[in-house]
Amino acid sequence: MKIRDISRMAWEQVKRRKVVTGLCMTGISIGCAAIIVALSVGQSAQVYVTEQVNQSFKMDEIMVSPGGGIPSNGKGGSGGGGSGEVNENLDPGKLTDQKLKIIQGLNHVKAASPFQEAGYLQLVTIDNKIADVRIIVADLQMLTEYDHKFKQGGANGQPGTIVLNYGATLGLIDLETRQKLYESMGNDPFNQDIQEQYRKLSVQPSELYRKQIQIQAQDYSTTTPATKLSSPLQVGGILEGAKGIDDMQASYDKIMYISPETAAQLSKELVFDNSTTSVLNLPEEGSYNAVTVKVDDVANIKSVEQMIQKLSLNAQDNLFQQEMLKEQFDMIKMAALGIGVFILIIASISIIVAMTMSTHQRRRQIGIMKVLGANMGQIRNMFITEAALLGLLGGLLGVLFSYLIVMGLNKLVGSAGDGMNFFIPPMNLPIGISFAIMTGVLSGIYPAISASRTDALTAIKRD
Amino acid sequence: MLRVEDITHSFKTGNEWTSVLHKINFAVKQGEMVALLGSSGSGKSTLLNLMAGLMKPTEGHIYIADQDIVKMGENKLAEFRRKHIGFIFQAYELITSLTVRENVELPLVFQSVSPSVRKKKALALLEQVGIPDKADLFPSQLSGGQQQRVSIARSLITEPSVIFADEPTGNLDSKTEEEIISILLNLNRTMKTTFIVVTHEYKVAEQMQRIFTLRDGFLITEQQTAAKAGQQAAVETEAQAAAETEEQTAVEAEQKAAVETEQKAAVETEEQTAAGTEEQTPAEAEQQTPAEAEPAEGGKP
Ligand SMILES: Nc1ncnc2c1ncn2[C@@H]1O[C@H](COP(=O)(O)OP(=O)(O)OP(=O)(O)O)[C@@H](O)[C@H]1O
Ligand SMILES: [Mg+2]
Repeated sequence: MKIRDISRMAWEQVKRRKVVTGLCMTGISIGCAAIIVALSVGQSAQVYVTEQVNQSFKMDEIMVSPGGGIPSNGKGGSGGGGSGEVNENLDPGKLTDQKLKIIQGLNHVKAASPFQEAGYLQLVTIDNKIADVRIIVADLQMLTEYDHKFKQGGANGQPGTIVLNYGATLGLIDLETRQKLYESMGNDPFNQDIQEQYRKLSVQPSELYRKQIQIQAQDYSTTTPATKLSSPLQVGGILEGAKGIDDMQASYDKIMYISPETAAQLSKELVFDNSTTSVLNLPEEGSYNAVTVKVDDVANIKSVEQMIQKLSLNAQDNLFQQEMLKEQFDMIKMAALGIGVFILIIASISIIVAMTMSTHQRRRQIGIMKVLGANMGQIRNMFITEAALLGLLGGLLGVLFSYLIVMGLNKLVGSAGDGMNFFIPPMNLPIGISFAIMTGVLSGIYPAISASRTDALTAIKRD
Repeated sequence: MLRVEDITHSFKTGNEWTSVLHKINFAVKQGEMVALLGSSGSGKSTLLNLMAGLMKPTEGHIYIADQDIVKMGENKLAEFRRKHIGFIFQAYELITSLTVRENVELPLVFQSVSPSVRKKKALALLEQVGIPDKADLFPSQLSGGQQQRVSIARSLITEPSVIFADEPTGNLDSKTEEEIISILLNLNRTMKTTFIVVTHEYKVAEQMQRIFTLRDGFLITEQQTAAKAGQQAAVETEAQAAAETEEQTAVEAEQKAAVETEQKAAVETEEQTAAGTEEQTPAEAEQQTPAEAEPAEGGKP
C-alpha cells in the first residue's frame, strides 16, 4: 500500500469523522499548547529577568576598587579603614591615577573611568521642591560610554552643570506637602487614600532640564538642625530611564552625576563650621575608590579581571548573577515541560477513547477492506497514520491556542503595569508539534492494533 | 480450480456446538458458474465464507488454484484473497467515503498498484457493468442496482480466479435482479471468470450451469441445469482442455469418475433426504432434469 494512498484515506476519515477529530484535536491541542506556553513562559521569564539583571548588573563591566578593602575617607580621615593616614602613601592596594591609566591601556578594555559613590544629599529646585539623591562623581562625558542615553541635553563639560538620571526627575515634592504627607501617614499609616496619594506623588514628573538647582546639606550633629545650600547648579542633561523598569521602581533610585571639579567645589561650600567632616565622601586627589571598567566582550571579562588583580586591586564582575539565573531557569523549564507532557498524557487518554470508539464504529468498513485483501499491517498503518494526522492537526491548533494564550497573558500582565513581555521562541513550535504527533501515534497504537485484529466476518455480519 | 473436501463446520453458541455443515464435497471447474441454492439457514453463507477464506472450517480442506486455504495464516490468506478471490455482498458494502471509481480501485490500493493503472482498469470495468457515467459519484448517490454493479466491478478488478457472491440480488427487485444476473452471466461468458453464487431462488439458480442444493447443512443435490446443458458441455470441454495442460488432469479425471459412480447411490438416498432425516449421509447426485430437483427445493423445513 502506497504512503500516498494511506495518507489520503486517513485524511478522508479525519475529514468525515468530525466528532472524533474534534475530540482528539481538542485534547492534543491543549497538551501541545501547554508545552509551548510552558516553555515559552519559562523562556520569556528568563529573558525578562536576565534583562532586569543586566540593567542593574552589566555583564561586560568590572567594578574595580582598591585592594585590601575600601580605604578610609581621603579628605577627612573619618577612620574606618585598617590603614591609617600615615601609611596611606605606602598602601600598595591604592587605586591611583597611574593604575587607572594602566587599566585603560589594557587589551579588550573599552573604557575605564571612576564612578565614585559620594553619599546622599538633598536636591532643591527653584520652586522649593526637594528630593534625596545619590551623588556619583564621574567624568560626565564618559556616561554614554557606559550605555547611558540622554533623554534631554547631554554632558557639555561646563563647570557647574550636572546630569540627573530619570528617577531623579520623579516625585519631587515641596517641603510643605512632604511634611504634611509624612505627618498624616504617621497618624494613619494604614489609610489607603493617603498611601495612594503618596504613590501618585512619588512618580509625579518634574521638568528639570536646564533648570537651576541647589544641593542642601544638613548637619545632624547639632541639636538644632543647621542646613547649608550650595551655589546654583544647572541641569545639563537627563538620562533615559532603563528599559522594562516602571516609574515607581525608577523613583527609588535617584542619582545625580557630578564632575570631580563640581564635587570639589561642593565639598568646599558645604562644610559646617563645627565639623571637620565634608558632607561629600571623596577620596584624596589622584586616587579613586571605584572605577568601572567596560570590556569589549563578555568572553574577555575573566582575563581582564586577572590583569587588574595583578595591580593589587579588587575586581568584581557580575557573571555569577547570570549563572545563578541560568540554573534556576533550567529548572523552571524542565518543570514546565513536565507539566505539558503530563497534560498530553491526559489528552492521550481522550484520544485512545475516541479512536477506539471510532474503530468500533468502523468495524464494518474494516471487515470489507479485509475481505478485499487488506492485511493486518495495512489496516494498522491506516489507523496509525490517521492518529498521527490527528496529532499533527491538534498540534497546529495547539500552536494557534498557544499564541492566543500568550496574547492573553500579555494583556493580563500589561494591564498590571509590569514591563514583562511573553513571547514564543520559534523553536518551541516544532517541539510542541512533535510532541503532539508523538502523542497521536502512541495513543493510536492500541486502537490500530485492535482494529487490525477485527475479524472480517463478524465485522460484516453485525450491523 | 475449486475443490471442497469433507468440509464440516460447527458454531459454538454458549456451551453447545451446533453443526451447520456436514461433510460437504464438490468441485468447480475453471470458468464455471454455479449456484448454491438452499433455504434460509441451510448453511449457504457459511459455506461461501469458508470458501472465501473468511473463516476456518472445523474439519476438511478447501483447495483454490491447488492451494489449501484452510492451512493459511491470516496474512497469507489476505495475500491469497487479494490475488485469487473476488467477493460480492448482498448489501453491496461499498465504502461510503470513497467515490464509485475509488471503491472499484480499492482492492488494487492494497496491492500498491499505481493510481494511473488503477484508474484505467476501474473505468474500463465500470463501462463493462454499464455505469461509466457514475465514476465520480458517491455510493449514496446510486440506486441499489447501480451499487451492486459497482460492487461487481470491484470484485473483478484484481482479475480473481473465482468470485463469490452471497445473494447478490437479495436486496433488489426482480427487474433489477434480472439485470444483475445477466451482467454476471455475461461476465462469466466473456471473461471466463469462475462464479459461485449463493441464492435461495430457483429462478436465479436455474440460469447457472450447475446447482448445488444445500439443506440443513447437507449437500443434497448437484444438478446440471437443462437450459445450460449445451453451453455447459462447451465449457466443460474447454475446461477439460485447459486442465489437461495443467498437472491436475489426473486428479480431475479421477474425481469425475468417482462422482459418476456415486450417482446411483445418491439417487437412492434422495427420498430419505427429502424427508429430512438427521442420520442421513451426505449425498452427491447429478440429476439431469430440473423437474426432479423440485422436491428438494420445495422441501423447506
Ligand atoms: N456466527 C455464528 N454463530 C452461531 N451460529 C451461526 C453463526 N453463523 C451462522 N450460524 C448458524 O448457522 C446456520 C447457517 O447459517 P447461514 O448464514 O450459513 O445460512 P444461510 O443459508 O446463508 O441463510 P440465509 O439464506 O438466511 O442467508 C444457521 O442456523 C445459523 O443460525
Ligand atoms: Mg446467507
